[in-house]
Amino acid sequence: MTDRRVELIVGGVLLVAGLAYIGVMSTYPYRARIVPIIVTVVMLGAVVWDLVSTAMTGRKRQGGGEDGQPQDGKNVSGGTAVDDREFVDVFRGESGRRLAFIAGWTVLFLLAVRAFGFAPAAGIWTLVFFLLNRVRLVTAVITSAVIGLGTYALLELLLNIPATDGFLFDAVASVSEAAATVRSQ
Amino acid sequence: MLDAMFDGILLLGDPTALLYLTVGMVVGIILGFLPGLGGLATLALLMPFMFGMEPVHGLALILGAYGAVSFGGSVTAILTKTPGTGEQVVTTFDGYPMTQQGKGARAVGVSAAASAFGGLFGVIIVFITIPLARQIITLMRPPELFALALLGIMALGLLDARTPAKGIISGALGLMLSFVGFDPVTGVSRMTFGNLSLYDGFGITAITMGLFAVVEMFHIYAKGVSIAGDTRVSLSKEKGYRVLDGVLDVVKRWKLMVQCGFIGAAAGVIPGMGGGIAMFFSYGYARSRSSDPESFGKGNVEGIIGPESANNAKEGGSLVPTLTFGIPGSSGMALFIGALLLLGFTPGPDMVRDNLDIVFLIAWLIAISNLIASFIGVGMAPMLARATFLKPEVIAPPLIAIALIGSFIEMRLLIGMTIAVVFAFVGYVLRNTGYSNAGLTLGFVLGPLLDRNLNISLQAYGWSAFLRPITLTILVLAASLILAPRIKRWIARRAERLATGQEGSIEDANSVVTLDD
Repeated sequence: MTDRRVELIVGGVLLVAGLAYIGVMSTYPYRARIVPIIVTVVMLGAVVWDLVSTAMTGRKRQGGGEDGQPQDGKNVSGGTAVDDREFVDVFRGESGRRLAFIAGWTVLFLLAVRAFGFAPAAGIWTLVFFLLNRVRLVTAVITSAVIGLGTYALLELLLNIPATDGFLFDAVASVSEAAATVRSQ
Repeated sequence: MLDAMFDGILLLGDPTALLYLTVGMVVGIILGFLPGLGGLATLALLMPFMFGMEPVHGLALILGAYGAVSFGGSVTAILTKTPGTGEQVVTTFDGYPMTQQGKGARAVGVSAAASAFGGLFGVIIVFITIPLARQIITLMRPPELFALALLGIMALGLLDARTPAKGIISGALGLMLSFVGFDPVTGVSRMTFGNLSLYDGFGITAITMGLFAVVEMFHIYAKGVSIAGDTRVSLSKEKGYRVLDGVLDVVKRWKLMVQCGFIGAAAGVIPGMGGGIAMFFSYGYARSRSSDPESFGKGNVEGIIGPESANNAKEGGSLVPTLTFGIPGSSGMALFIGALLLLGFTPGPDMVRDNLDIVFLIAWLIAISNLIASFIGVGMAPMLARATFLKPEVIAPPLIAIALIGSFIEMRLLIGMTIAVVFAFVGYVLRNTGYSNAGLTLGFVLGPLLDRNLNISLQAYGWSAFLRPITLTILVLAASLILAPRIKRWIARRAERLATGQEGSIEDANSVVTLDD
């Protein structure tokens, strides 16, 4: 897999997504669909232009022509310039393992929030990350406690949003409530 | 008029008002550091505290916070690539690369000085333009506003993406995403598929956090180096890396600061234009007049001076339509009108006639809070900049947690966090395949403006809306953004070919002469 192939795949996905978008938009009344359809048609035109030029660049490169480097040495999103092989290489070796770890941690953070509520999830999940990455115990405990308590203060005290509501605690509360009822009977 | 100006500042002589101003600024700076809590959320959070307050105290509290909050967002945009609000993404373009070079403190110094000046400049604009405001506003009709939004999206996308096509795609993607949800023009719920959580569309904070903050944390963690890379921690005390150097950078480029301040104030005066356009235009302007445009996006101080000066000047500018006509100049000002009503003032021509001292008090408060917040920021910058030297293992998880919680706060729905995570993955791929996440964000921010104004233009003027003189000029300018580099390249290639041809013919002529000899 090369970066050029990834770009072609992304272009293809955008093309299909754009066509689907037009398909759904066309079911709405004229005034609701006109602007989105104009914008999508422009985007599809640009996607086709980009796909053709990416494919042509690859062909020229194979034929010993242009090297397909970014025009005028431009940056991408104000970040580091991406050279032609860097992106695919990120997924290999140590950097790939680290990327998979942080991506997984982020997705599981969503589940942790549902399970424990915001404040406990922010604290516990940050602590888990620190411990798995062998961060100094004192730093890990203090930082995660600050994150957890800060989240609690922000949500519960300032914004009046329940910060400790999660299905795990709800389940524990229901079980203990049921146990208390049974005991009282 | 001059009397009212002085009366306005005299109202601030009350020590309690100054205390409220200070409390407001501290709250503003703290909230500014938290993604998702921009000026709008800050005003919303403080409004309940205003009931029963003296008008001067209430105004000091909320405007102190409102003026300071954008600086907090700029600091996080520069140091961690986490813009406080969607529009502050422009500050990350050069601010963050400077941080990566170990110049985070200097970049914050640039931002503080430019913000302070921008705030003052915006207020000067209020003083000058209030009498002229009516004429300026009436020039901008829906076709012109649509064309300006289009120009902003196109220019940012083209500037930031690897190729022009990818720039257009990025901007269009942002627009397409902004169309999801309830359409206020027709009352139709678009692309929600019956999901009530999407009725208000995707949250801007969720998208910004996903595309910038989370993506950046993925990037630095995968690389295994701190934000400032391999630069030494001690650099922040050396010449060229200090906060003071940043302040001096701004002083040296005072002309640029004035010009971009003017752009910001002008954008603020036009209702609905928003800070995104102001910041982008000033960035483009700074780049176009720079002697080193190639270094933009790689840590050029002018890339921070322009947007920061414009962003804070915009607030002053947006006071003009808000106070004189009751038309909010920005989303924050819409809420500010609510705050004024709570305090017993009705913005509009009556307020300018009967409470001109309060009008000028508001302008002074914004200027003072910008100025003092910048001083506080300069004081805190060296300490904050040290955070950029922390290991990614230490900085990534708290920032991701804060970013995701910020995404939730805006929508008050768990789907906000899911959206942020989805956009983090999408943004990671787009960023590394040459698309512009910034162009996408600006498209999303300006989408409602473009949608509404294009719709109204087509209804009111038909396709001839695009032939109105100002609209046509702006559209030609937008088209030239795509065509100009190609034409320039074509001319250069042709000139090169001609020169090669002439050289060839001169050589031929010389050889003929030699033969003749």
